[in-house]
Amino acid sequence: MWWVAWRQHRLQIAVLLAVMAVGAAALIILRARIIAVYHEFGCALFGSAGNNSGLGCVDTDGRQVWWNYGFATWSSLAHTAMLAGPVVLGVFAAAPIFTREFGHGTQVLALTQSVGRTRWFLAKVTPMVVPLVGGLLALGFLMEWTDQTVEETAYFGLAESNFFARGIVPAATGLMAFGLAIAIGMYARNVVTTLVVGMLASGAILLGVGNVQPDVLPAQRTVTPLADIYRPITQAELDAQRSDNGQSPSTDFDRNARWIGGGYLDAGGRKVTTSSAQKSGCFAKADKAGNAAAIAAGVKPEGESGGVGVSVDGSGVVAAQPESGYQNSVEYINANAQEMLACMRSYGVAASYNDMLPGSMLWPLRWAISGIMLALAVAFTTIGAGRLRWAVAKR
Amino acid sequence: MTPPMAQPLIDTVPLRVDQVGQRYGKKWVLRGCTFDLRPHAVTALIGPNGAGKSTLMSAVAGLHASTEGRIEVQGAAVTASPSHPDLGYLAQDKPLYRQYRVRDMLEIARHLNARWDAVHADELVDAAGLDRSQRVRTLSGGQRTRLALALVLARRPSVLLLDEPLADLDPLARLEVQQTLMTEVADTGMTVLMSSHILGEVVDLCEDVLVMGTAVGGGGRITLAGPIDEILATHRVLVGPGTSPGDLGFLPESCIVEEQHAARQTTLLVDRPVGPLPEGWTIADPSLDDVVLAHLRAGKVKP
Repeated sequence: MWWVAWRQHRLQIAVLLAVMAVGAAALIILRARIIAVYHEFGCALFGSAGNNSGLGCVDTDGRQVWWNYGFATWSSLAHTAMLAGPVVLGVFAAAPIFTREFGHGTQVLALTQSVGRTRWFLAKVTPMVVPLVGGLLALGFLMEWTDQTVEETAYFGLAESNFFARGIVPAATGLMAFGLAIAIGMYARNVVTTLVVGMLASGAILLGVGNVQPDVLPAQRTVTPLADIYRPITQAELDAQRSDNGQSPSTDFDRNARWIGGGYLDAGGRKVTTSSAQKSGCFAKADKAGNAAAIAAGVKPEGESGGVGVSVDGSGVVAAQPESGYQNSVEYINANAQEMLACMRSYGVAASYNDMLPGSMLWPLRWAISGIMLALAVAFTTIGAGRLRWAVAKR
Repeated sequence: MTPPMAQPLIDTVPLRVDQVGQRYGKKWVLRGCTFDLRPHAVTALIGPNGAGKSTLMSAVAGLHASTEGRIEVQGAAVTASPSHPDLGYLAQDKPLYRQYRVRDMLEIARHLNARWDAVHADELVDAAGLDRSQRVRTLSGGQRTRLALALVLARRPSVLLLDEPLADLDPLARLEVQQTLMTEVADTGMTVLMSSHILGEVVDLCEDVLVMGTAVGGGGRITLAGPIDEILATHRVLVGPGTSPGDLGFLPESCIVEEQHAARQTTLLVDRPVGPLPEGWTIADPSLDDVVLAHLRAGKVKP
């Protein structure tokens, strides 16, 4: 039976492998292109010259080498292909296996020989599953390898667009789509219907799993008292921040971490909901207080706004940029902070919190999501195998 | 070495169908079907379209489990898949992988069967004049039937099920397939059940006949069964003057298969010899067509 299955599906297997080989070649070429671009501009690749070697890399014209130097479009396309590819390939691999038999009535020929239904099912499914899973595993790790070439693409392993495109997850997604198409094929008994419904349904499941992905494993919560966020700073601290200008290696930067959510807590640790109007009111009052303090201290206004002193609170709201030019003074910053502290406390806010998935959860989450996909694949395939009894009888 | 054909046990009924019923959803397509096949006999299964012949055959072939009842091949209960090793089944549409060549089909069938007589398969393909390099989709209907038959017969079954094997064949192809079958039966002594909705297609090949009715509530009831000779020997056509159904008191009601009343003539088909007839009545031997059609009509109206 294995020989027969191979004989029947070898062309389809060859096409499947060829498509995946083209994808693999594209990823290898993309990686080479990224390296070439970085070498062209004299930049160091990620990991070869410090923790944030890619940041601040400039070309000969003084422009920063970022995301738009010849590989951004292709890298985005590669990620999109790696998100959609497993679904397309899984459905493509599964759809014709049984529907073609039903279409020509040849299941009757196969099942009236010495081959049992279960063996026939397994023998036809296995030769497609093995190259599909093997190929998608290879592509998933190639995507990761390509992404890790430069810092801009190496981050955010837990973000959906990266998480579902790298490592073992594409293979698990492909397996889920394969199982679903097997089950749909048993009901539809038509290749085109199975392809269309299978891709739509698999895509919907992928989106659904993507939505629950952040909640599968418990996030780590960081609580920062409001007094720490708005603590007074000294002139020396401010000077140190300015001289560094963000160039120091960030030793605590978690490359793959993912921010899940954040907000405010009261003194009892309960969530506090503040309206945008309330927060805007606080920002305005704090800005006014900061300006007043700076003027009172005789601070000379600067000509343009800087970045220091802009607060990003737990809700992700960025404070309004002050326009008076005092915001870089320690007087402004401390008065602003004091007013913000008082204003937010008046709404019952005692601390802000951030929920994060740390980068250390990348592999546990990969296993968890792949486990969900695998369970779905097994469930769908079992439904398909069970339906085979009906599908054979209703010919 | 040629593998031996499976030898049926002595005195074992080759195929026993006992109160078999098949339901799809709420609809019974087959119900109360019961018969035994005689060893080494070729039996015609006759019934109108929709009687449940194909459903019964696919259940016997193990393609699906029947909803109720029991099927035995050579004394062993049939379960759904794999097919009983002593059973060969040729489905009505003669399914073959149309994209492959004849030699590929032979190779595929060899790999699908634990018992396979490659020499016999080659003999049958040669006898059919099939070109091994020809693709199945380019074969004529008769050639496809002969290739499908070769694949079935190379399994060396002791019980052969043929579902409408001669349908859609031209007269020459039909004759060739009939000759192949008869040669095989003569050589091996296999038991054959051959379905058709046209009696004339199969009557020349068969010794026994089963007539399957389409009663209300599901087809499948066997309304007539037995050797053709015995059936013809017991049935009689009685022709008499025009009369009403109530005036047939000289006959036991149970023996009347069918009665037709016209203004001046009454025609009866009875299923057993009858005693002296009243004046004006004549007796004649029916043809097998008369008997089968009468039973089919009777099976259609009797619930």
